[in-house]
Amino acid sequence: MIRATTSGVLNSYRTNLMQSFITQSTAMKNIPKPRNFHSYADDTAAASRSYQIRRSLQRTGAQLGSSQSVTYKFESAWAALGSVVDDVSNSHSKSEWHDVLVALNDPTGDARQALGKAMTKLGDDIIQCMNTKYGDNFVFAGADGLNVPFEIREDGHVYYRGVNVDTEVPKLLGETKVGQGTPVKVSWDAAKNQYIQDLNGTSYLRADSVEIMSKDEYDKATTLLNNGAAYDGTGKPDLNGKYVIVADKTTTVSKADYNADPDAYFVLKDANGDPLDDGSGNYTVIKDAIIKKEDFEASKPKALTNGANLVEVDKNGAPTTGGGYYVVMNDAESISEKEYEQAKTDLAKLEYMSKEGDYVDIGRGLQEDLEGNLIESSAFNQALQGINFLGYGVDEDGDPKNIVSLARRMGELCTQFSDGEWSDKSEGWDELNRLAKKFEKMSDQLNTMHTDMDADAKALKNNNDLLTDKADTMKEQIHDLEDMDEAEAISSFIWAQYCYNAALKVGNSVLSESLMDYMS
Amino acid sequence: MSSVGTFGTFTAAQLGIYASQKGLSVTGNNIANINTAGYTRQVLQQVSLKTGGADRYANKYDVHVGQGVLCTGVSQIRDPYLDIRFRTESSKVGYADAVLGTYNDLADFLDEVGDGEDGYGVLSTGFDEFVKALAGLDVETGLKVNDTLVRKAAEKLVNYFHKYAEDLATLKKNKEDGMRQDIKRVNELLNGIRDLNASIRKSEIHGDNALEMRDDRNLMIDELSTYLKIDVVYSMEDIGAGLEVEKLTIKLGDANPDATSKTDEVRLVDGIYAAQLTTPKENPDYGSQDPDKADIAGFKYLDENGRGTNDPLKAKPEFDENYNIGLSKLLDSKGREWKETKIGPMTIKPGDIDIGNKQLEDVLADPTSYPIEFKNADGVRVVITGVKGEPKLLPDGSVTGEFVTTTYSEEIEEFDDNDLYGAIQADREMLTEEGEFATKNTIDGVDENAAIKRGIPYYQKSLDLLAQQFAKTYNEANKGYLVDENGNYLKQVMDNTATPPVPVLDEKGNPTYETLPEVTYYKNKNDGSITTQPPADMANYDEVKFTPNQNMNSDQLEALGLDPKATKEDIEEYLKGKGIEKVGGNLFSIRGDKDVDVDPVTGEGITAANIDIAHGWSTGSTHIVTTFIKPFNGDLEVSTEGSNVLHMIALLEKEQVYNPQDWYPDEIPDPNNPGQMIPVDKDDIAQSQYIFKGSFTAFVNNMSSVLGSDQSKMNSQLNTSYNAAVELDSSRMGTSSVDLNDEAMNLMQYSKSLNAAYRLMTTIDEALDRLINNTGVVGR
Repeated sequence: MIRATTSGVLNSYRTNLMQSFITQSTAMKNIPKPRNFHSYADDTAAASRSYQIRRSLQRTGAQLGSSQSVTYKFESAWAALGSVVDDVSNSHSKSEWHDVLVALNDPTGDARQALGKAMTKLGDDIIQCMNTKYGDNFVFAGADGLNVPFEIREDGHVYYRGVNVDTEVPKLLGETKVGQGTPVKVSWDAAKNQYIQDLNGTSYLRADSVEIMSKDEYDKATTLLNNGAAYDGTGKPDLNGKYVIVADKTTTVSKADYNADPDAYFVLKDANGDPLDDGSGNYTVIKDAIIKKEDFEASKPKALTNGANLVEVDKNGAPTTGGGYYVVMNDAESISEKEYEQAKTDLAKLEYMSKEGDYVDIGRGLQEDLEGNLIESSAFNQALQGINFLGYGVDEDGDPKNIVSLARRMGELCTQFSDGEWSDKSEGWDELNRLAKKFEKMSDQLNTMHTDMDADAKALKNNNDLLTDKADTMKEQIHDLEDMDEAEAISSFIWAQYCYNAALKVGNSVLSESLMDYMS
Repeated sequence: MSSVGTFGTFTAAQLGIYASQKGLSVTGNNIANINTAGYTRQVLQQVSLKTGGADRYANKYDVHVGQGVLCTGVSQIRDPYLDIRFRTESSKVGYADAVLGTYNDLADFLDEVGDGEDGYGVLSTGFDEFVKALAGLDVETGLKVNDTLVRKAAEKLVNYFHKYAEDLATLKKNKEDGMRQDIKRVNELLNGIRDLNASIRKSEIHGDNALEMRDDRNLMIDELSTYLKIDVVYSMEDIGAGLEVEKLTIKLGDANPDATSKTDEVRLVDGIYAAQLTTPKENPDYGSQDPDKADIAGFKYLDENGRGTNDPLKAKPEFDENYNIGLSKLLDSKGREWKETKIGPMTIKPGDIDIGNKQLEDVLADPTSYPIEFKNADGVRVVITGVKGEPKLLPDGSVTGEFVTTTYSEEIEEFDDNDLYGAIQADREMLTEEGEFATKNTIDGVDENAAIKRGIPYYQKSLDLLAQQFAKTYNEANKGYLVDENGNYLKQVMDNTATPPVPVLDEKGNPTYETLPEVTYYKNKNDGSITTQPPADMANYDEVKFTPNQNMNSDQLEALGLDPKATKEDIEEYLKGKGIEKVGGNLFSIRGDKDVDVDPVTGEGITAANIDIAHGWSTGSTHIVTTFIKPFNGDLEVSTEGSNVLHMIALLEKEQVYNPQDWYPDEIPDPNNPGQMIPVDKDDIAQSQYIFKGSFTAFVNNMSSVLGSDQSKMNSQLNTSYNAAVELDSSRMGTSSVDLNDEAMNLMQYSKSLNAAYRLMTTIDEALDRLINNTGVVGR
């Protein structure tokens, strides 16, 4: 057994007293700032966890900021789109739709031209609404928020980010579908006053402006009786006659029938003016077949040639030997290669823009794939493409899909017809009515999109609430991890203080008592 | 018959009085020194006195009685085993205390718990604010002010890096100063012990135990044991004439786990000789052929005045890069070196000594060969001054004989990395250990456990690596190839008719772009071969089209006539040749006046201390590239497209792999060819390729966690060692220190014995008085 000496006991006591004082000092730190740990060394796992939560909280704060900004932007967009919906909705008396109805149903049509101008003006107003800004960015400009998205240029077309929204890429002669197949190149032959196939040509023919006609039909439409011999107006041969007879449009009538009622039949005659036997005991009826030579020349199918011969094509219009068809191009319209390419590019741009995204991190677990490409579902697309609301391109009828363009078209239509009595029999009424139906459909779609946007804005608000809740939860987690219960902090301190005081008292005894004190 | 003089008993009483008085003196001395640090309780050594031997004709009824008591000396009560245990524990306390001290200093700024605004940390908040600014830019891309805000947040972040780097550098400097002070103190202690040894030795020769000096020496040894793990040996030294005195030897305590190491057991103190710890830094011009350096080229060290010296004790006390410590020769207080001359058998192997072209046995047999100086297997200088008799040749070529040798003390240029233990070793480790950044050379040649020891350099390099990785990530993110809406690379259209060629601008004055032509190749379905010419048997081939890009596969590279194993740099060069170059620029650089993240001349890369906003970004010539997409060759404006900003936000959360090897430069300047760069030796870079995988902030968290964990572990170690040391010290005190109860007992005991001796004296006096004055007076 070792000795317990005064110095040894004091040494031990001194160490223990110091430990007790350190414990009290540590406990005291928790009184003004009660914390479960003051450093990683105190509780590495809790400190690390707390650190992670604090970082998440900071990120959530940033995400909430972004989400709120996007929410305000969407609210602003929703309000602007609401104005547009009001302009086009059929439920408002001052809407464009109201003007259309007035134009269609007002029998006197006193102010048709004025209504037309009003429609055009309302189109302008819609554009102005869609050019609204939130902060410094144009709301409906997609990924080009610094520049005005919509404009109406001098050509009367609406442009979105510099691209004509009414861009149409026509199907070309020779194509099986738009953009597929080899279009036929043509050039203008001034001598012949028509297009001819030309491999070096710089234009194409629009498929919808030509007719693919079978060789039979073509022959029937172009073959005249007696090799195009001239007749007078009664059907009698006349070298100076101004008429010709289209062979395919003649019919026959039996002599008996003809003789029964000669005035009922307009038949081919001989040089004497008598009905001409067709060789089978019948007469040739020419009522629908006789036509003025100049009218025939004007109306007969004009087939595409290569300058010398007719170009035989397949049923899609692609030049094919033995194809069995000709290209009739009486109303042929051409488009230059350059214009066509530009239209294709413009349409591609419109389609690209309609899908273009501008993603922000609003707390959906932002993530990229291994190649660093954004996983789109992990972010929010804040891009609002104006053309997705107002429409772009043309429909199968060639009418604009853009509601502003359509309104302007209707406005122009109204202004084309003078004021005065107007009914469904009047010229242009059908056209206006047809466009009006499309307008109404677009208006409904816009209304739906407006409603959808409201839902989007609400979803964003919900997201804000979620992020706020998440932040609150994290704050609570941090509190649970880091903050010590004050009662516990105080009781720990009191206990430490009690121990220290006890240690001090013991010290007093250690220092005072020894055998020396009892010696006399 | 034995006889006792009449007054003999008086002498016994006198000796008793003397012994009791001495006892009281010793007790008084003990009580007086109860508060003296290191004082060891003293006790009076007494023996019973009995003179004379057996009488030749002794009466069997004769009774032998002692003649009193003799005080033979005053001694101390110490338990050497407890001293050893205490000092072993003391070195552990010294080590743990020094390490923990450094960890606490590191934690003062690296441990961000509760730091910063609302306890969100400092450096970490820098990252948070950076991503917050990026989020603002993402929501409102295109606004110049947002680019500025991101730059401001980045400036704040780099300032935090600077602050931490500076704090770490200051801490390292302070620790370096601390280590110097510790070494100075160790040397003072070694000299102090040496001097006390000399004084004690002198006192002992003159018959004094020199107990107080021993106490002082013990205190010094105790203190020394906190700095170094030591082994204290007491032995007897023959000083001639049959007289022996105690000799104290202190050796290093065999701390090196490598059993073959002998340098961890060298003598620090040998009686009146002591060595000194040295920290000489090698003369950078040592061995230089430069004629201008001729006066110092022959010296290993430089002294305080820049003059050459080969004596490490005279060298300027500077640390080398590894903070190596050496040990000087054992010298006495007058600077004389310890040596030991003896005659004894010894075997000398061929190669031990320089014999030129002679035979070893011939050289050793020739008296003119002596003195012969050589270093023995322990590296100690030995001088053979002669041989007794004929040396004998052994079958293995060695020669054995009775040689007269003088052995000198050990001198160590550099201790092995683990030879030391205690506060000094802790200082070294905290100044040098790099953890996962330890190089292969260090692990193989210095310390196999270097990769798991983390000192200040580990945290400096970790922070550097974080700064470097951060800068690299965002610099790379801000540079890239422009692509069209389909991902095809774009090149700027140039007017090559101009000299030099100038960009072709559109009507708005913006550059115009175009894609490279599509490349077509045909891949054989059977053998996978590639051809760019349309094959005759097309049915056996797959037609593949692509446009050149940075991520081309081997087939595509081959189709372009490139090496299928072309590197990223090769492909970049190819694209550059085709007019396709990356746009954007570095956001962070090695200094604010530069745009590069690696200095092309020095190879210096980004560190926490030098990371800065690139000159281009701060002056406005570089901005954050918000998108690399130029739809329709730039014909479609995308002024607020922020895909690259979102990418940058994602990067902040992305898991990065932190490779310690990245800390080291790929190339360094060639010392032999100024202006040329050479690749860094693989053995001179970190052996580990992994330190952590996670986001930037997760790395900060990891760094703090590693520190916290080490801190906690070391705290436990310190507590354990400290408590053990206190326990042992208390035990030592139980043996050696003064106890008032004991001394009170002694006081009473000696007081009583003194009184008894007085009483004896009086009794004898009375008895003799009767005998002398009153005996035979009957009838007077």
